[in-house]
Amino acid sequence: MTARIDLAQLKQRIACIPALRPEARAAEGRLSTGLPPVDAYLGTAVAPLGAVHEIAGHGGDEEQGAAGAAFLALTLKASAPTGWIAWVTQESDLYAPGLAAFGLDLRRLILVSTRRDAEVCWALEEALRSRCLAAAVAEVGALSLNATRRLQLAAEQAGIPCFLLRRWRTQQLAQQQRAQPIAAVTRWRISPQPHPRVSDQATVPELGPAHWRLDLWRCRNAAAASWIMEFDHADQQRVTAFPVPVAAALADRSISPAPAAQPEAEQATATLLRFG
Amino acid sequence: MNPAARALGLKPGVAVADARAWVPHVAVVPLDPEADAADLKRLADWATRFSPLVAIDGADGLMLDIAGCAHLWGSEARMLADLDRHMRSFGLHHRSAVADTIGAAWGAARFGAGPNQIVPHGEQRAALSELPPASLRLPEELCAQLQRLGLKHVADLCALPRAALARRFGAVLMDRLDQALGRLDETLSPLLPPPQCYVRMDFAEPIVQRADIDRALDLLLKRLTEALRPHESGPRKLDLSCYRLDGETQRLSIGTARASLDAGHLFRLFEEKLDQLRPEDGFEAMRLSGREMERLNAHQRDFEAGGAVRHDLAPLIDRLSNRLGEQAVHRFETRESHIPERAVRRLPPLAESPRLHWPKAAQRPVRLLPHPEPIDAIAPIPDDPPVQFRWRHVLHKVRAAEGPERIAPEWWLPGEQDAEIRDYYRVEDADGRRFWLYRAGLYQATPAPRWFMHGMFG
Repeated sequence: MTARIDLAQLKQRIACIPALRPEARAAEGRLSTGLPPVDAYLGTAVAPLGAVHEIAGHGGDEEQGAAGAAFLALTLKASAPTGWIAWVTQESDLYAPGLAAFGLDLRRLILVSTRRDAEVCWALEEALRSRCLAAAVAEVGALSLNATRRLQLAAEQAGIPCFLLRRWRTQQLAQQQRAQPIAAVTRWRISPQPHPRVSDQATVPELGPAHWRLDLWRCRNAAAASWIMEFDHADQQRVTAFPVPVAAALADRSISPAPAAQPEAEQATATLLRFG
Repeated sequence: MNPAARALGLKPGVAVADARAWVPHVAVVPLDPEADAADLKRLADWATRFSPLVAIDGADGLMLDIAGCAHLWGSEARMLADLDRHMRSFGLHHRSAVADTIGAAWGAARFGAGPNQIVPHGEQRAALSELPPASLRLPEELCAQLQRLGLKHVADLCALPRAALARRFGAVLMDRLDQALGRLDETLSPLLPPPQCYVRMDFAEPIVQRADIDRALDLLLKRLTEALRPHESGPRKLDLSCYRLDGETQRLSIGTARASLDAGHLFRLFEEKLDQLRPEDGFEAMRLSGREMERLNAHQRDFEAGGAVRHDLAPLIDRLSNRLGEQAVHRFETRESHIPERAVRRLPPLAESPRLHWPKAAQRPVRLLPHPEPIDAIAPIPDDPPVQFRWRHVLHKVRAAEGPERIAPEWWLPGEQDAEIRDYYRVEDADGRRFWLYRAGLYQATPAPRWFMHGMFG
């Protein structure tokens, strides 16, 4: 049996899907990280706010998710500037003063402690469907594709972002699970980077600003991209990001571990962008 | 001691050997006071179907305050008949009585002529007059004393002058007499906190199906919320008691962050837990009661969450905390403490504006381990950060570091007298990860200083 396709009719039907209407797309919010070069890149991609976004620690941060939590705090500040934020977690190691340094307003934060993985997804879905939040976050390890589809649907209907901060108990689990497909619109990877400094000093050098490598390795309708993020604890208003050159980003499109060291010459040529 | 044994002339207090000599075929069951007490507690739970105010009386009695409840059965006599029928179906021998006062009911139930007595309103004196003084709940020695003096009935006591009685036998006798006759007030101390409002429902046929339970609960909730609406107050805690045909009582409880009269919302909170009910042969009655009444606050404005009136957070918090536990949902507040783990505490989610102040200059990690973990660190120079350390079986080489930040113990707090000073260092390893470490105590060569991992910056 052959189906006759009427192109005009098909176009009409597509036009009726509310989520695909141009005006609906323009009206909905966009994901924003508060880092100008990253936001400029997201502006060219399809990264709606009301969707599932995954952030995973990398390069040693798979278990603690500390760099991920820091980046999430920045993203929440930019993407959900007002309203309640629910943060679902199984651990009790989230430290409020540390998050506040990244500009997250803790008065808006509601912590939800769960004991099992299954409860995390339940609590997150409840939070998304409650219609009283500006964003929902969950720290979660194992995730099924179906569970994330449900979350994606809930986030889409609520029009608020659902951030999955991945945390695995062991490196092996992280390696097995971090590349598995999930229904996320953007998937980020963040890994600590050594501060570029002269290392052969007799005394232990000072810390200086923290450096992270930020990879957007999956994004609907956009190529993968990478940035180097710099955060100065002493001057908390200053968070900067500069793109890692395209060649390096493309070379790192596979899910294999990110190259440990960034050529310092390349970083030096990149323009430093200021964020206030 | 069952009625059959009593009919053969056996009495409590008779030695087993004597009883066997008297009645050779007597069956002896060892006394198990704990099991008896547990059974009595279960019976008390079951008895809440008659009244919410149930108290356990000694080792073998129950007290029910049925004021305002009897009309649900039509009359006190019908209520008592219902009680009698149920007790028989459980295979329990019992005596019961209804009276105006606790004392009169106690005496009539234990010493009265029949097993089910009703002392008419205001007739306590007449009902008790022919009963022995023991029916006044008097200590044993006092009863024996009265017996010796020939005061065999309560009427004999009433006939004597009060002053002489009080002088001769003490205040106990007068108090008990007055309580029984209603001259002195007495209240029950019920097992469960008395509900401030409740509705109940009896079923013509026991219900088993989940759909029927749902419908009954829905109706109960609607009736309760409708009844409370004019008062503009609502309960923060709701208990659903389901009375099973075999006498077992099953209870479900929910709590809300804020008083609510939204029947739909309350139903959804119960819905999560209805699976825990085991109807077996069916429930014959259900009761919904509320505690911790609070005034309703119809207009919840949320100034903190950005100024605009946003959707109320309370329903979400209720749903989460009813499934995950009351402690599961919380917010952060700072406390005035330099000890990192003590500087932040948890607050209930709907608490008014939490205080959030900490020294901005202090750099604090994003993750703080709930308990600092010991690490093997090599720090060759006194008061310098370690050059390498091993944490959770992984060796980290320190590339850069800052510190120390000295945090002194809060010696004035109980249990903190022996706490050590901590010197905190922020270190970066070869991969660029940043940690928060500390050395416990001042530096000394021997014994080797102890180092701990406390947090991660990222």
